[in-house]
Amino acid sequence: MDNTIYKALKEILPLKGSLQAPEGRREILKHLGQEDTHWGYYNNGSLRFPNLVSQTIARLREEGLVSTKGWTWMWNQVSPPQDVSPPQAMVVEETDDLFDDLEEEDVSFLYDLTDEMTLAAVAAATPCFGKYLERDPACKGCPLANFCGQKNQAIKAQKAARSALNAENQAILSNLGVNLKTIKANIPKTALMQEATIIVAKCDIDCVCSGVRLYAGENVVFVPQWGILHKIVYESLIS
Amino acid sequence: MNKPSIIETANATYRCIHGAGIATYPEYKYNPFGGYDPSILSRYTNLIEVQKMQAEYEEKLLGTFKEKAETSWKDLPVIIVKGGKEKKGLEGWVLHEQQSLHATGKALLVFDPKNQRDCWAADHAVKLRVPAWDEYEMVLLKEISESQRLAPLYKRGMRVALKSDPSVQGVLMYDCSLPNWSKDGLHQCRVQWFANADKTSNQEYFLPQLLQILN
Repeated sequence: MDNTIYKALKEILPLKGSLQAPEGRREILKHLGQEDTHWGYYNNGSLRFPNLVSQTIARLREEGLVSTKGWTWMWNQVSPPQDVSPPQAMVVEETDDLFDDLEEEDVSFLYDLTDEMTLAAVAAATPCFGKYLERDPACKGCPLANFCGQKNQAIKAQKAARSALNAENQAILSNLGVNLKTIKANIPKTALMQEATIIVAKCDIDCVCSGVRLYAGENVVFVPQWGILHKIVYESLIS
Repeated sequence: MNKPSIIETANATYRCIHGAGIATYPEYKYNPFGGYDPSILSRYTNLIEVQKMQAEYEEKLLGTFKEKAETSWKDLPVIIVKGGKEKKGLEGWVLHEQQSLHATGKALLVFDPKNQRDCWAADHAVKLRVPAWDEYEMVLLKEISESQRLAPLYKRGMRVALKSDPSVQGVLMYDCSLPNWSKDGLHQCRVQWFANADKTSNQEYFLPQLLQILN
């Protein structure tokens, strides 16, 4: 499609109002000061100009500028919008203007998260609390993000402390010659590991699973339905 | 683990926590661990091992009971498995046996010392059971000794009531000095219940079943 023809038509038609097709073609040539041969020929020898004019009219009709009736081209009086831009979902500034008097916290979240009880209740109702991910867009928009991040940090710190303690315990156990894998395989199914209590031994005794000698006055762990365990062995077993 | 090592481990654990060993009752007849309470042992050592040992012991004990029952049912722990609602399920000890008058087999007098109940049952209506480790001494013998202690105090004309239902009251017809049929166990006495009591007017009761009323 030729843009010179398009521009010429947009200038001619508003002035003329309506034109017959042959007359219109003549007006274009006159407006541009050129011959119809300027646009060349098709392989069969016919001129390209009339066809280009037809295509341009079709384009103007699609844009709503021109309507056609038979061979008559008519310019539509309604002016097209000056700037055609894609629709926008929401203008944020307008919303801000509406709620200028309100504080930002009130608009963002109903609950006062500085209150510990409220925070605990909201956190309990949020299954993902404590799993904060900085790159997750959902986390960024969450009102619990700060607290969740803090919780996440605390969990990570706990894990790090636990793994450090485990490494330390492993070293002690290897010094004592305890094989944790063998012990784990032989834990009685009925042993109440979760009900274990730390006690001060009143006499010397051997650890029921590792055989390590435990002395009176030492802190030991009593596991109901199993026996007395070395404290580090117990900690390693439950970690 | 064998039985001595289970006892040793549990005892050591108990001593380590409490500073003293586990209390023992070596005189108890039906104890699988030579006087140690199995429930204490199972708390202070491997429960599975204790249960295994106990199951082995109970199987052996039942075998012994069966052998004994071929000659005499007396002093054997039984449960009544056939009969009416009142009898069925009663767990007790056979106090007396005699040849059944109307049928083949033996008639057994079964006494439940825990609930103070007694009844007659045919030997084919009962099944041997394993008693709790302390049941014979702590329940049955205790009742018998109590019965022997109280017997001289129960005299003819004394007002008595039933332990299970104190509203049922009556009067002793004889001195309670004679022991029961086998003459070595619980004392029995005949009671004339008052007219308003919902009981057969004239019945024999074991002494532990009665509650003394002061005149």
